[in-house]
Amino acid sequence: MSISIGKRILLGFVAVTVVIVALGLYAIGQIGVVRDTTDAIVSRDLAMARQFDDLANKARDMGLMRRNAVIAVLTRKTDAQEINRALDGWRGAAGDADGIFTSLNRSAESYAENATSPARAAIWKRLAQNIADTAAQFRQLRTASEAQISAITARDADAVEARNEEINRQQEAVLRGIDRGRDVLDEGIVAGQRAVQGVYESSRLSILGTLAACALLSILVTILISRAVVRPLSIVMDFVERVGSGDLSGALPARGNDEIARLSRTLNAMVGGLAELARTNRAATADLNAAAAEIRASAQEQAASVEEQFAAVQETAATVDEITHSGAQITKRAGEVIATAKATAQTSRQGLRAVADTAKAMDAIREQAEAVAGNIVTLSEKTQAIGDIIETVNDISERTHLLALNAAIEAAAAGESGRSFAVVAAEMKQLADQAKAATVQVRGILGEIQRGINTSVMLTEEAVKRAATGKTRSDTTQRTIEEISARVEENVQTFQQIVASTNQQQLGIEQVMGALQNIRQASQQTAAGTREVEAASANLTELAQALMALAERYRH
Amino acid sequence: MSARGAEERSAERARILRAERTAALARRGAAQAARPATRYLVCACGPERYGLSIAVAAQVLPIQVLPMRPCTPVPGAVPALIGLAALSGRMVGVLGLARALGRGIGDPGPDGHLVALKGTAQPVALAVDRVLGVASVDDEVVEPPSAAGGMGGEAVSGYCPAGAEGAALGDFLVLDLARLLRRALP
Repeated sequence: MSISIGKRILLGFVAVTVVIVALGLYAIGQIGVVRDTTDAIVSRDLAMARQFDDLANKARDMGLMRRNAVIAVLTRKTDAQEINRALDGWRGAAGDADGIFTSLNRSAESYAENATSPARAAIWKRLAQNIADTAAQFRQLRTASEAQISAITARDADAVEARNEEINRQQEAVLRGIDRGRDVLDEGIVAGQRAVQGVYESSRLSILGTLAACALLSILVTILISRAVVRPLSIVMDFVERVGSGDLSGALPARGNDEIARLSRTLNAMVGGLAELARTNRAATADLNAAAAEIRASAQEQAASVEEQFAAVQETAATVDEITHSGAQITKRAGEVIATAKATAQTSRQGLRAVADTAKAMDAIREQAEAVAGNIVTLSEKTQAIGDIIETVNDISERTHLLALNAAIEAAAAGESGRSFAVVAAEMKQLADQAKAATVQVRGILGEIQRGINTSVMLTEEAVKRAATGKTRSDTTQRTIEEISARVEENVQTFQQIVASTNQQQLGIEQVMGALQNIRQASQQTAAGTREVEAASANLTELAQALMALAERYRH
Repeated sequence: MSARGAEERSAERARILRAERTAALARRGAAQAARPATRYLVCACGPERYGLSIAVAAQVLPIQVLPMRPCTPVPGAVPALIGLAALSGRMVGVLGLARALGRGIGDPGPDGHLVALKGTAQPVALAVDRVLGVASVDDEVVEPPSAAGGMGGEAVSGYCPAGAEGAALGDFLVLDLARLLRRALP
């Protein structure tokens, strides 16, 4: 069914309301009918009863007047005026009674035509008949009475007496007819009451039936609404209770397009969001727990460091106190240093003179070393010349060797006669070999001499360089000592400034002491704050663990 | 003082030389009378020494005193021939002794010696590292080539051991020039 629940409920209420409104309108109509009927009965019957009463009164009045006139005649009254007045009254009453009869008859007939019920119509007809009969009797009575009245007028007492019996009897008949008419009218009233009762009964029955139908309709509508709303709602309620108890794992079936389906979809989305939220919440709570633990550890560290800071401030205060004492000593020592520096300046001037002498001596050493180097170079050149000579000797000895060999060959070629020559050649060769060996030795010695010369040259050059370096260093020393003198002078001024600065420092240290006092107070406040932070972080940790337990409730 | 010392040392050296010469002359007469001897030119070639009969040598001269181009290589020549050199106006073939003996130790340097030979079919000179001197050795002292161990191959005809009389320059192998030339110049 694609009709939404709201429309279904609205439809049911509209149906019930329509039935109730129709019932009300019908009831109002029936009440109107009853009232009209009652009105009609009351107005008609009361008017009719009043006319009957008037008629009876008139009849009695007529009888009374007639009897009075009869009595007056019979008693020989002579007052004609009184008799005439009674007769005129009788006549007037007779005319009125006749009019009333006519009126009654007309009313009864008209009522019989548009009566509220057949019974009433019959009653009205009987009444009309009764009225007609009574009117006929009344007319007979009137005729008889007219005759008696004529007798009365003629003062004929006998005639009056003769007719009196007959007239009385007729009058009684008329009165009885009127009473019968009253009885019929009473029956009509009873019939009217019955008709009203019938209308009331039929109206009550129909209203009761309609009420029962309305109740049935309401029950039907309620059942339909219950089927359409309450059962799905109970499913949703169960689901919501499960969600409330922490089970976020389920989902509602969401078919159709009515409110329950929309509610199911919305709830599914909400539960999905809740599950996501629970996951996020659990992760965030874990993070929060870790962060709270970190905060607590940090707070504890901070507390420790604040205590260290406090101790450090105490130490600093002690140190500053020492600085105050040492400042006084600095002032005293600075005065001593000034005196020492002046003595140092004097000493450095003496040092300057000594360094100048040293520089001159270094120059002399350098000149001498250069002269030695020149001599050694000359010696080296001589040694080179000796080497050349040795080369020449070597060459000569080589040639002599060959010459001796060739001489030996020639001596061999000469045979026996060359034998002595061969001996000479052998001696020559031996000499040449010895000369060659000697040149080799000399060459070795010369090499050693050359190496020694080279070493000496290098050493001399090194000596020259060192002398030059010494000279440079002496110059540097001289400049340094001059700078030292200048610095010492500066130092004297500086120490004088130091004395002044130390005095200012004492003032500054007093301010530092004040500041340290402030720092100490601040440290105490910080320690108190840190303890509060620690307590708060402990609370936070408990809270985070409670949150963790809370988050554990949700399964997803 | 030092001049006088040098003078004394030279006088002493001259006296010693004269005494040795006298002794040598005295030995010569006695030895010659006893046994026949051969004189060899002892040449250094690499680590070995070779003795060449002095009778086949014509002249000893240094390689470096040859004219401008000491040795002209000859294309297509035998392996032992280093090249050609002009010697006293004649074209002389220069044989490397090391090459001729088949020893792979290279040619002599510029301070080596040439030994010009005589009595050969064509003018030939042997290039050696150095001619050390002349040794006069008794023929009996020279051992046969079978005992020489084949150093130099078939061109070696004997071995003169060290310590033999006249072999003051150390032991050496005796070369047979004819066989050497046959082998080097086929």
